[in-house]
Amino acid sequence: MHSSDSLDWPGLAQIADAESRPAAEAALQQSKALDRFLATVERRAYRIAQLSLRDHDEAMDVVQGAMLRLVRSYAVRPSEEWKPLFYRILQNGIRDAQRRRNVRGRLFGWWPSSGGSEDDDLDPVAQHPDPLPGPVDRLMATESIGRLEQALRDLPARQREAFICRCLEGMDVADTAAAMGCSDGSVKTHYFRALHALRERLGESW
Amino acid sequence: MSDNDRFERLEARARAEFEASVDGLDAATRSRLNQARQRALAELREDAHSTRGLRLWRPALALGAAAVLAVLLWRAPNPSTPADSAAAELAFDEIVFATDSEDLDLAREDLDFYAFVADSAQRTDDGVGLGNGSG
Repeated sequence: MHSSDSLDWPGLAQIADAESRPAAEAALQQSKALDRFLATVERRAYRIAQLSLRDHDEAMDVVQGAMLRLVRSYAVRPSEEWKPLFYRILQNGIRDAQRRRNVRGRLFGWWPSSGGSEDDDLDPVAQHPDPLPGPVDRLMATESIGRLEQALRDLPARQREAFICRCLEGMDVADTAAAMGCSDGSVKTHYFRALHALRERLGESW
Repeated sequence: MSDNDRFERLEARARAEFEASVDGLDAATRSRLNQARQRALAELREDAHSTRGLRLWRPALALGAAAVLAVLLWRAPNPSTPADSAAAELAFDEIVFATDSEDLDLAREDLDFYAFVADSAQRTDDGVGLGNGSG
């Protein structure tokens, strides 16, 4: 690694280079480790966000925000802490997105239309909400995963978070507690209730 | 089937369904996720680069700061030297003399005296003696 292009004194450049080489090597290793970690969780994180938000773009924004936040704030932390930290950031991002959506709904819910051309605004058929779910939603609803997602959406937020971390992500109680920001006992309680509620909603046949 | 068995079956099936849905993500979504990850990591690399740049310049900056400090210390006036103390005392005396009202009166009297002497000398030259009174 040569840095003499940014320094006028070759001797100084060599000293600085020798000093910075281990740090640069460590940064490179850290970047590679983060790349591997994020590659393993990004699709799962997206599915979790999509499951909660039911919106592709919002889910993508939340996942990207979680990645940036982890890299900016917690890259220097030991790699075994990344997973609970990442899922905590992700859950906070999902909650924030839901809150923003609720606020938008309260503020602008009465507003007839927030975009589109004049023709769209004037078209009563286009403005009328579709009473039936779209083809994708219909397909999903008929599938097993669709039922699971709907059942998870119906759970209280903390129970859903406990189920996602413990069951879908395979995290242990301690990591789940770190991700949820609560005690181990609370995790066990939320998870137990989530299992019961899902069992009831999905039925014995699922 | 016991409750535990039912819960275990539920967990296993939920996990399998979730894994299948993750594996079934379309190429466009995967690509966007990949791009998002690369953007996040690029930020980390930029941070590391800027920090490294500062680290490289640190010795040069330290040397420069030391040189500037040395020049400032060398060029700065030192009020504790004896010569400067004497000069300061002299200046103070001059100020006291200039503001002393008695000395100012003396100075004014001196000026009157010098004017009188000059006037007398002029009269002598003109033939008007000091002792030659007209009356």
